[in-house]
This record gives sequence, structure tokens and C-alpha cells, in this order.
Amino acid sequence: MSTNDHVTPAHAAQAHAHPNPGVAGDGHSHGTRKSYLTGFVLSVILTAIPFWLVMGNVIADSMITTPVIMAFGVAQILVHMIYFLHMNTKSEGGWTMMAAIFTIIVVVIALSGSLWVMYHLNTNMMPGHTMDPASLM
Amino acid sequence: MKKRNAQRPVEGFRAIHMPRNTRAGIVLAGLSVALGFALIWYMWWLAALSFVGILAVAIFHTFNYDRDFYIPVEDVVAAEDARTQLLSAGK
Amino acid sequence: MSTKVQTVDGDAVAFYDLDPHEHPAHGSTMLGFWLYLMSDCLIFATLFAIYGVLGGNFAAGPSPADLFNLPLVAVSTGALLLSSITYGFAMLEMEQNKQGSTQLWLAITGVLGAVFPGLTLYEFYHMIHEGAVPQRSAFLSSFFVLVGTHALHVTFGIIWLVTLMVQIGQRGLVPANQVRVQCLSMFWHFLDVIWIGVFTVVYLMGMLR
Repeated sequence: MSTNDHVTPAHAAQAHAHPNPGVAGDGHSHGTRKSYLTGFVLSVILTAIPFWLVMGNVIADSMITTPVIMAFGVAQILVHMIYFLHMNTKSEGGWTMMAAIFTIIVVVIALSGSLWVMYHLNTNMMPGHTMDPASLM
Repeated sequence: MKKRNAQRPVEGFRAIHMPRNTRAGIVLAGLSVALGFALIWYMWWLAALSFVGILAVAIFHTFNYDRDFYIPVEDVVAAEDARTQLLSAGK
Repeated sequence: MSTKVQTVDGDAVAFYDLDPHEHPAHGSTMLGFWLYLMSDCLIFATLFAIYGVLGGNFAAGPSPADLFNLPLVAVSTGALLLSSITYGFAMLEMEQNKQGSTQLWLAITGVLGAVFPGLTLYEFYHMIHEGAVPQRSAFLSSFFVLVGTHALHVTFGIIWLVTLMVQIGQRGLVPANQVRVQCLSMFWHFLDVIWIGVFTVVYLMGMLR
């Protein structure tokens, strides 16, 4: 782990003198008032639109509304990760992003795999659905 | 290491940053055993008690700010010198 | 074995670190907490997967359209979203070492956050009162587990927040407390991210089902 490579010997000596050195060197980015407000306005918009779409019955066909509100959800999750969780490729030497990518891969496999397998079980293995005893003879 | 010509360092030692011992871990483990036992055997009073206990111990532990210490550089030097002398005596 | 081992560059191999290389206290805390959040994310992923598989099995019981009160969900979503920005303001005040206003924004965050599990309890109470208990159908079991787990997380976040405010009051914004505020910030915003998934998948898509 080389996140603290930039700590100079002088800094290290100072750290020794003080048993509880500052938070410096964590390589974590912080937001500004502007970035927090930008994120907040964006997420209010991205929340209000899907609620309005569903509560106002704006689109008659729910097969269209569903992917639209899912897209808004994904967009809002990205907004939160960037503006509130301050995710970027550099914090902690890139390890936060690596962990996040790994987690997203596992989540996608777990979600899509469960839905896929269980959907096929439901449609193909219902009792009396295809396994007609007469047709097997 | 020896096969690859690694040299035993004899100077340049620094104080070692160490975590302090704490009781929280073993206490939480014990309470967790009680909680698990209580949940399995539907002993709700014990489950509630041990769960509240876990929360209380965990919160109490966060009030402990004295969590690390340094092994002074003199102690490190003394220990390493003793080891160096032991090794050279054995040759 | 007298051959000297060398790297490709021709340097001698160093088996230990000669340069002073300090790990500051709390230096790895943020990364460790991030890894915890990612594992928490996997818990929610499995709960979402369960809801996705079982969410349509009503067992002739109530369906989302019969049970959900979207204006109520909109209010709790708004409370959680507002608490995210107020926590952000607390972080900004903390960076300027203003203890009083940090505490004030943390308190506002706590009140807004408390609205959320309160409304969830109110919703659960009404559903159970109408006979929509977790045992009624697979949809209701998975619903209560997913939404209940999230509300429990928010509740523990509030307990943490209150504890942290006491500790800041005792010791001020010392580095150890600053790290704790930063970790709670990540936890709080992470719960907001999970809630986006919950209101989109459970409530909004449930009404469309």
C-alpha cells in the first residue's frame, strides 16, 4: 500500500513528535459549497421527475415508464457518488475506485443472475406447464 | 533472505507505532455468542439484553481515544542489538 | 549461492524499506471504511435480488398499488435528500474548524434523518394494521426485509451521529473526531444512494406493476 509515499521525512519526524498527527496525507478529496449545492439541485431534479412521471401517470404505457425511471435512478446514483461521496480515480491511490468497480461487478452478476435464473425457473418449470404426462409417453 | 545476500540492519531504527490492547473485542465476541444463542432458542429477554449490551459496549469503546502508542526507539535499538550479538555469538 | 540478486534495472534488491515511511494515524481509516461500505452494498444487492425475484408474488394478497402511499415516500425521500446536503454543510464548516456551526448542521441532519425511520415505522404500522404483515406473501416478506434493513441502517446512523456530537462537545474537532465525521459522512451519503434504489425499484416500479 503506497498511499502515503508523499509523506516526507520531515513530516514523519513531526508525526513522531506528535503521537496523533493530522488527517493530512489521506489523499481524500473534499467538496466545496458549490459542488454540494450542484449535487443537491441535480438530485432534486432527478428525484422529482420520476415521482412526477409515476404519480401523474404521465406516460400511459408502463413498459416505457419503467426503463425511464430506472435510468433516472442510475443517473442520480452517479450524481451522489461524484458530488456527495467525492469519488474519483485518485483518492486513496485509486483503491476506492478499484473497490467500487469490483463491487459493481459483483452486484451486477448477483442481480442479473438471480433475475435471469429465477425468471426461467418460473416460466419453464411451473407444474402442469410443459410437463404434460400424456405428451411424455 | 540470506541466500540473496540480505544484510541485517544494525542502525537507523525508528520508534514503532503500535495499537493499544483493548477489551472491546473479546467483550463484543462474548455478547455476540449470547445473542446468537438467545436468537436460536427464542430467549427474547436474553436476545434483547445482549443486543443492547453490544450497542452499549460499542458506543463506550468509541469514547476511548487512547488507542495507539510508540515503542521508544531506545527499546527497539536495545532489542535489535541483543539479537545481533546473539547471532554473531552463534557463528 | 553467491550470485548477487539484481532487479532488471541493475539495482540491488531491497527486502526492507530503508526510507522513513510514516503511516499517519487514521491514514487508512477512510479506505477501510469505504471497503466496509462496499460490503454493505453487497448485502443490499442480495436483498434487491430477493425483492426482484419475489416482488411479484402477491399470493392473492395486497399488491404495491394497494399499499404504498407515494406522497409519504416523497416526503421521506425529501427528508433524506435534505439531510445529505445539511451533512455536506457540516463537513464544510468542519474544514474551517468552526465547531459551533458544525454541531448545528449535524443536529439539523439528525432531525431530518430521524424523520425518515419515523415515517418508515408509520408506514409499517399502517401496513401491519391492514393485515399486510411479512408472513402474508413473498412480496411482503422481501419488502419488509429490504426497506427494514435500510431504515435500521439510518437508525444506527442517527445513533452514531448523536454519539459523535457528544464526543465533539467533549473534545472539540480533534483529528480523531474529524476522521469520524468524514466516515459518518460517507455512511450517510451511501444510505442515500441505497434509498435511490429502494424508491425507484420498490415504490415507483411497484406502482407501475
